[in-house]
Amino acid sequence: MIELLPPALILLTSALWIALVPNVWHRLGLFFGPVLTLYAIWMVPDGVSLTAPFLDYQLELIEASPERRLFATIFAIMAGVGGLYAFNHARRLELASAFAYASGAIGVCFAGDLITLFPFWELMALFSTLVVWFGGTPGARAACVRYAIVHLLGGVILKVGIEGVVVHTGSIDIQPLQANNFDTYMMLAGILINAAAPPVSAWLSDAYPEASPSGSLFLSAFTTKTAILVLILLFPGTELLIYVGMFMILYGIIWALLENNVRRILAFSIVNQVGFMVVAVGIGTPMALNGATAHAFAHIIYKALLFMSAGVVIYHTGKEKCNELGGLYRTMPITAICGIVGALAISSFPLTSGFTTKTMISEAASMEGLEFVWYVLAAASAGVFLHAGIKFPWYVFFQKDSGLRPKDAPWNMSLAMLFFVAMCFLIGIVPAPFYELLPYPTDFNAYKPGKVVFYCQLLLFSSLAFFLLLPLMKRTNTLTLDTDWLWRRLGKSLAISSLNALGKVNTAFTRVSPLLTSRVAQWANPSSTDQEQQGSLSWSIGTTAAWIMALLILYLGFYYW
Amino acid sequence: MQDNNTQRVIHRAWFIFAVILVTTLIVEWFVPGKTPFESSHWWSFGAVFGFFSCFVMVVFAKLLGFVLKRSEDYYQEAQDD
Repeated sequence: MIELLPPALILLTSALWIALVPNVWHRLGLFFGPVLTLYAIWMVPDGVSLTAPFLDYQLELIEASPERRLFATIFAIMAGVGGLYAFNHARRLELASAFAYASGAIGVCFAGDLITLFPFWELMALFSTLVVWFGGTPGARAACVRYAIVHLLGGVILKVGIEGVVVHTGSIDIQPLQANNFDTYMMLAGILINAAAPPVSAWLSDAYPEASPSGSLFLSAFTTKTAILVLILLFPGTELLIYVGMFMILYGIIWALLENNVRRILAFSIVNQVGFMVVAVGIGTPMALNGATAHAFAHIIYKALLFMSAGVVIYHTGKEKCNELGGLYRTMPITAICGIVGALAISSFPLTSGFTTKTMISEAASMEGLEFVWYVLAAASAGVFLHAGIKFPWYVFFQKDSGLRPKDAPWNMSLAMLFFVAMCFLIGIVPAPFYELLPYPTDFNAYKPGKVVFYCQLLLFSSLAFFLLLPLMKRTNTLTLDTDWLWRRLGKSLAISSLNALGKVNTAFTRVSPLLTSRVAQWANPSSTDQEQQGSLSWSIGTTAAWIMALLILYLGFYYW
Repeated sequence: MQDNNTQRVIHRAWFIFAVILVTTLIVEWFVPGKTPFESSHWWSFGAVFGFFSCFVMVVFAKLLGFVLKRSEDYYQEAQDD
């Protein structure tokens, strides 16, 4: 019975259950929702399995393939483990929003055509906005508005692209496209906005740290990775993506190095890691697309682990600035160990999931002879270890004794973190079964001895650089300007100036309008006396109709011209 | 001021760290570090490349910080204006 239901619908139903069912019974939805969704995901056969007519089109509501299934799987796992982590702290409606958000992501995974894809895309935008809003602080609400504007705008851009493609090609299929005309560029831009690509990547580091700690956890998983899946399906091998991805990788490192807020460091490292995947999609070979898929899967796990670890610290200390934390390993050993495993995995240290997945992307670059790209990826691997691999655990758990003695994570948070620790090591130590789930057959061997030696040297000597350069990385209570300066400062100033100017025009108009009104009325109805017109400042019906007619004629004139 | 015990732990940690670093270099004599491009087929490439990549990134970030860093309430001030 369950296998007949769309996986996204099951999770959406569980979101409704969580929102509406009173007392602790809502927690059943937190468990059964993801479990049944996961079962349904693996019951969906490859190819199109559910269609519906819509206007002149036959919608493909569910289409499965290995990459779609793998992305949906990790989204369902993330929803379940996130629910376990958050059920004691998060508000019920926040959890319901997070589940609805995840259902949107799973809906995108299985959408077989562009028309079906779009509502799920917007479902994600809507409920992720709510997740940010549940941060509950004035800062969270302000960030939520900015987040909503960027994502609604991104949705409109994507929709314009989809409409263009559908009208000009007559096809609604999700299939590889060439980015070579206005329609496809609009689609690409709409997707890249969700992938936090430049120049609008600032929405991510602006909004994610403002959500609640559990909200950040859910936000870290779905939007950017769904964008990667859609890029894999629609724009594999688009060369532009290689350059966009490399920029994201380096941008993420540099801005994370300048950051003091723990969750913002992790947010920048999402951009950095998604950059690796975007590069892989740009390379577009089977090895690269395997790498993008595998890395997205692994990334969701270790990034969640990092956000969970940071979340426990924030819940128990109320602090999230590097210069206010330190020495927490004494009283939070489980949280510290889980955070360190996440940090090692994001740095692609051997034996962790990051190593067995990220090196696929480097291998793909080398197989295509992209020497410069390979060097950038290698340098970025060192940089990731620098900004996330060492910086996060060092400043939070070691560094100095901050005097804080918080309790370690409660059982549910520990269990959620340990589950993801196990997955990090499982994919890192025994990657072969995982590789079999990838979209293309592969005999990739991550553990060639020479390669392991190279990465060990690369990472360990980058940690030497970190400790030697610590004085240059002294934390300060500052923020770093980003492209959001354009709309948070410049745009705001321009808007205020424009409103002031309009106000002045309005004042001037108010002064002359009685005179103007009487003249227009006289023109429209010459028989009335001056006295009658001056006695009433409101326009008569005839005058209004005359104006409307004039405007319509003007519009028609422009239209035919 | 750090007590003697802490200093001793720090010195020991640095010593162990140095031993690990040197070990990765020595191991390369027996298992050559495999990179796909000729230009990086020389001993200790991984170590040198990792160290200097990070050095450049940290220094670049520091310099960029002089231009882009603002006080934490920078956007709040804009709201109050």
